[in-house]
Amino acid sequence: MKGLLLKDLLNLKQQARVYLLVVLIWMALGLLNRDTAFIGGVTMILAPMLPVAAVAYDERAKWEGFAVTMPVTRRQLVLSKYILCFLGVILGALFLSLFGFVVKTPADELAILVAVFSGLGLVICAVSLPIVFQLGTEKGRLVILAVVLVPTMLSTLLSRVQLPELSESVWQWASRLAPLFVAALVWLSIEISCQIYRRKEF
Amino acid sequence: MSNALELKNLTKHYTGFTLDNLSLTLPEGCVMGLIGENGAGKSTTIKALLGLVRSDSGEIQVLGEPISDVSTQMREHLGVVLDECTFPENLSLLQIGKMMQYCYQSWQPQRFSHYTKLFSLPEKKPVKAFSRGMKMKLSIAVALSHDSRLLILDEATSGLDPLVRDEILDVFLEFMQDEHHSILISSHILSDLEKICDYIACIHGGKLVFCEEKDKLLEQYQMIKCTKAQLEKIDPRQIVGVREHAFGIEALAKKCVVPADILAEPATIEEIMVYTIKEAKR
Repeated sequence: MKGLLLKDLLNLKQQARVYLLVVLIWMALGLLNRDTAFIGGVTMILAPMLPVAAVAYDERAKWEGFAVTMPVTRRQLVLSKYILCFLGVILGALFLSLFGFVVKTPADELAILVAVFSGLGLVICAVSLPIVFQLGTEKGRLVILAVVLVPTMLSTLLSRVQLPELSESVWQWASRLAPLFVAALVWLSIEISCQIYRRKEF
Repeated sequence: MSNALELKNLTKHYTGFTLDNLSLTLPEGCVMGLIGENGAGKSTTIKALLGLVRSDSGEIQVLGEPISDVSTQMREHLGVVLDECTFPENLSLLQIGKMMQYCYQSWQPQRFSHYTKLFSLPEKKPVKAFSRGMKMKLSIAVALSHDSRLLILDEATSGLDPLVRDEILDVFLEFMQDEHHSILISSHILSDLEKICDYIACIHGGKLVFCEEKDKLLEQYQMIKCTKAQLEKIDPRQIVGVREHAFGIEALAKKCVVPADILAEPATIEEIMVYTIKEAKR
């Protein structure tokens, strides 16, 4: 597992520099209007980008065919990509916190933003990784785009419709259940990915 | 003596191609060469016995364990070189060595650096800057730098110049000094196989044409050069395949007594393969 992660991190090193530049540019833009939520978007994008890029590199080098002949299990190969995803979320959360600190976002507001965007990042990962394992990155990327676009469009549409105001207690319940929901989704996603990978031929 | 590899009635269907009831046995301590045309099923066979593709039916045993549940422990003893370099392209040799150290418990850094020096591979260049030959050498160095007992090599020497191939064949022969070591190697360069193999297995159209000890194979056949009229004097049952050209006839025949005026020479593996497959195609 350690070896697999080391490989992905070294492999992504070059790309990580580009990511960092993008994040910094975004942060600079965000500074202009002091919009912490805007930077939250970075978290969401960064998290799934790391493992998907890692899988793309593996595909290009035909690494997976060799990897399954090594003394690592297929489950470990799948898990290593999820760990990369968690690393992405943590990194994103760190950037977001740093930004919030710099623009002096109130602590409670910042905590909510970090939680919401990290959760969203994890959800996108949970949805995209099984797709990538099943379809490969080339086709998978398009499907992920659709998966991300549909809820975005729906939420834009919904924001135009007058919805009944939700009571305080419903919000409280939702905020308590959300982490459980995300955790369950990630677990389910890992199990599905492992199933897909077990049947995969190279 | 136990077997390093055992394939029994291996079958795998694809649209347009079937690997049909293939059975092979590689005894421990031996080298087997897998030969055949492009698309004959060599790579599919290798993939099936590495567990990269699932067979539809049949049994596969690798180092005494069924492939479906080969333990990670057993994979320490499996050295694999696939026909394309499989290493992450942004990594350098040093980084690959470091990574492998975490992947293989039996990884031997000194041995890895010995082979990479022997093959004069650059330490700091990323893999993507390597030539095909260098990539192949890297794959071979990795396969030899852990506790491999069985090497499975798919086209490991193709794309390499004759000098390097010779060097690599020497490395394989050195590996075979241990009587528990075995090699399965597929290649189109039959002269290489002739140098190192104990057994030759020939596949055509997904079927096994022959699997024989190399020496027996070479003893069994001869190449005959004669005229059409001279050929008619030979028992047709002894003739495997015939090629006609402007100056006469070349034929692969089983070893038999031929009239003194007919030129008979020892056959090479390449001639045996070409004539046998041509005959199978008819």
